[in-house]
Amino acid sequence: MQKFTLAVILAVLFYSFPMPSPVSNLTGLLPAKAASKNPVIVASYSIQASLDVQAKTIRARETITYTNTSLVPIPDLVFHLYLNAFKDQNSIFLKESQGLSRGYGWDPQYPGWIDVSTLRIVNGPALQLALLEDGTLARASLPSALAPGQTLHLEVEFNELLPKVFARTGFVDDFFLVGQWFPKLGVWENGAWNAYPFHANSEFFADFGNYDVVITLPKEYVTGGVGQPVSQKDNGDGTQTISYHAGGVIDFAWTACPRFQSASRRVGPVDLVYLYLPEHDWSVKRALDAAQAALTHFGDWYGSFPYARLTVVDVPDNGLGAGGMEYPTFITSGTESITGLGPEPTKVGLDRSLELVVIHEAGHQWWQSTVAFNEAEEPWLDEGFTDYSTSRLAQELYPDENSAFQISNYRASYLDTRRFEYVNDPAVPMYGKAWDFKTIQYGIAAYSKPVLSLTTLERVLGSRIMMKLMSAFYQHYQFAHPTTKDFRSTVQQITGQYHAWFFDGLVYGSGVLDYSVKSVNDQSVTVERKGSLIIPTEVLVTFTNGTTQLETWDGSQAEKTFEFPNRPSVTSAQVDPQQKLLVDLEWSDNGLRRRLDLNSWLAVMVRILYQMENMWMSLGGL
Amino acid sequence: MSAWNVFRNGISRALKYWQSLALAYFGVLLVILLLSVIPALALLGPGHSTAMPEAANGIDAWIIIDILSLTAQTSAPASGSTTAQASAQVARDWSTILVTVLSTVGLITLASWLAGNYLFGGLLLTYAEAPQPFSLRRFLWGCWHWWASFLVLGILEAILVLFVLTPIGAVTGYLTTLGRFGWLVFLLFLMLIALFLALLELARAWMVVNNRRNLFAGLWQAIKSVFHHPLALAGLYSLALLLLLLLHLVFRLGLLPRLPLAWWPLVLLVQQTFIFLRLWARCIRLAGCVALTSTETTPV
Repeated sequence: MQKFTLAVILAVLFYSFPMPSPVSNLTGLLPAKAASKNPVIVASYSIQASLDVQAKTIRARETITYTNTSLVPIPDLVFHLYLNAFKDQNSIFLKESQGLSRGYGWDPQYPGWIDVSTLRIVNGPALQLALLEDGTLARASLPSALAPGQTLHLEVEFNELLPKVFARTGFVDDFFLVGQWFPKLGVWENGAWNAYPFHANSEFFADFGNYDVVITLPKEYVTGGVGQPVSQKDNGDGTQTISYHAGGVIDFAWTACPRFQSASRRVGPVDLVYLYLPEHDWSVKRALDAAQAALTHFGDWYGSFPYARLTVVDVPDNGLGAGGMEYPTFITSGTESITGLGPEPTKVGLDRSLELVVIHEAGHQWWQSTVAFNEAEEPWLDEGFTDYSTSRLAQELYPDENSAFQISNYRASYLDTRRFEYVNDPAVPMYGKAWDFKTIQYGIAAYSKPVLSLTTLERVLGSRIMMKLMSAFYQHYQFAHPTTKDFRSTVQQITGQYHAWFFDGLVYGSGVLDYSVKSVNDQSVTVERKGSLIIPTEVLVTFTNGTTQLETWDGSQAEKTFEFPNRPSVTSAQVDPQQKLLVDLEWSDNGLRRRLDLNSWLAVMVRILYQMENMWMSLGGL
Repeated sequence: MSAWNVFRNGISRALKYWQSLALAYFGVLLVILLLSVIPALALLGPGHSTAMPEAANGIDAWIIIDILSLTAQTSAPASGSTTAQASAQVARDWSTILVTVLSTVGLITLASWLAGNYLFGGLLLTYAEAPQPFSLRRFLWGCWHWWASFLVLGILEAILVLFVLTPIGAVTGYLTTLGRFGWLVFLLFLMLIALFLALLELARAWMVVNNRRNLFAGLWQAIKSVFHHPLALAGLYSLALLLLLLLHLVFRLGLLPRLPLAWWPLVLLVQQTFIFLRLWARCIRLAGCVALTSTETTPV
């Protein structure tokens, strides 16, 4: 009996303290940022808005419920008034962008602005709102500081003019995409407001909250919005009122157009809806297939999509500035070809820009809407993680290295398009505030370099460990606003290594990787490191008898010679033979043969000869 | 002469005098082979790269990106070198690439102008002297006799292409984005190109048929021919350009994309067959122009 009792006690003790595996149970392994699966509701918005489709204006009333979840009192409130960035050319946004955003221009004849006419505490005093900087921020002092744990209810009345589609928001003809459109509180953290003026390269950072939005507009308009549509009412006067609810999200955007048509399908527990324009009916299956692939694969890789609905919005050809954007449960696509020649190349299947944009924006549902990085201070996190996910899925869906486009024998993958950008300035560190980068540098720092760096990390660690790392990071930091430090911590905990080359070299540093095989002699091979970044790699040496030998090289020396005195003659050598190091600046010098590859050389020369003959004949020569 | 008869006449002359077509093809090939020494030498170094088989299989994007990555070396201080040294090296690398490409293109243009206009005379004379048998001596005489005039005509052609056709083409390109009206404009532009070709080829044909070297007289007669035989000319050029379009479709869209590019002997055979047939299509047009011009004048 005593032995039995002891066994029971031991069993209870044993199963009370489960042994953590390296990856499956992170509680206790990772810093306790937010192990909750539900977002902490900090700032909720209830908005009643009325859209005047002729004047392109919105009148609205907003109720904000804000809870101080910090440990210090909050003395004031800081609001984002994003639309004021499009008021005139004196705004920081327009000065920095010189009137161009994402390839499209600001039309000074159709500016945008927002004006707050009333700000008051519910059943309390009015608050004085003072505009800051260029008017895209505003501050209101509180009569008494908001104590930790206290909740504040605010009433706001505002009017706004929507610009012609520019920088994600606005109207064109009868199409409206309404984003960044309401007075929105910044994020209170570390004893201060984390809120910046609206910079050209910058995106957004916000707390989680519940959104209830009621929109009144002409009844012929079809709408879409973040979250779920709750009700629709015909007002009998030519207008309708539609309401949306979104729980535990960081933003609310919506769209309206009388010409929208709708296609939908169910992907597991998620309702997938595509609002499209009639002239783009060819895009329906492709957009839905791409969104479905994203929901399925990203769900498998990282964790389930935490919301019940995803709306994908098509944008008109003359409103592409509204395309390619993400909001929680709501994304905009667009049919512009990757070549910039309009939708035709995409339509006929020469490129897959439609699919890639849909997959990318859907990817943001994980790497923005759910984890909610600070896009302004660390843009490489949300864009880099999303774009890495896009590239990874594109390689899986379109495996013949033509995931971006293929024309005859010329093909390019999505990874190629990012590498094309990266080589222009590979030394740009990934880490930095969005506005610290010049325009092309921002694209490299936030998109292309992270894609190549994360893919390199995957190839170094192996896919299995990388996916465990990414899913662990996602699931642990859902709704938690993680930072680069949190990701570094996760990498260290999961892999047991610091991977200095990744963080110090690529994320924070300006290291550039450029390995090459300098020379191949009869009995030796010399490899060279031309850049400053060091990543341990391998060198594959092939001998005349067909045998091979794999050497490891830590890369610490600028040159290293491997000697093979007792082997047959060397025929060729390759550094990084498995092409793990995608951040290597030049791939063609990674391998060298002692003798000319005559067959391949002739194959290329034959084609050059042909092109020269064609040029001759096209120049009018006989 | 009806359009179909002119076209048929062109085909029969081009086929009958296959020797002149062969001389023209091998002449072009020889000059191009000489010019290809430049890229051949430039590729000797890359020919030692283990990545060369990938280039042999098709020009993937990464190869082009690798060339572009040379500019990035200014941002990547190589161990032991200063930024200034790296910049200077980049400038030298880019200069080398630019010089190689421009020199090759420039030399092709020059060779096309010189050798192409040289061969025109021999070809046209052979067709003009039909039904006499082919004579190499007459062919070469024809090449020399009209070479200078055709060279000047070639310069005039280049000026018209650069300063007239190219701007019209740019406007046409923009207008084609405007729906159905744009497509009509595109069609008109194609007809303008055909007319441009016809005038230049008719001018050459007239000069040879009438044993004249005055290119302005040739052009004037060509303009008159257009008004005298609009249907025959339109028919000849429509049929000849349709034949050319068919060749392009069969080879560029049909055969060439399906070739395994690493099998270079097969690729060489198919590509050279296309070049030969393209040249033959041009000879049909030239022979047709000679046939048409011959009905207006007494042949040489």
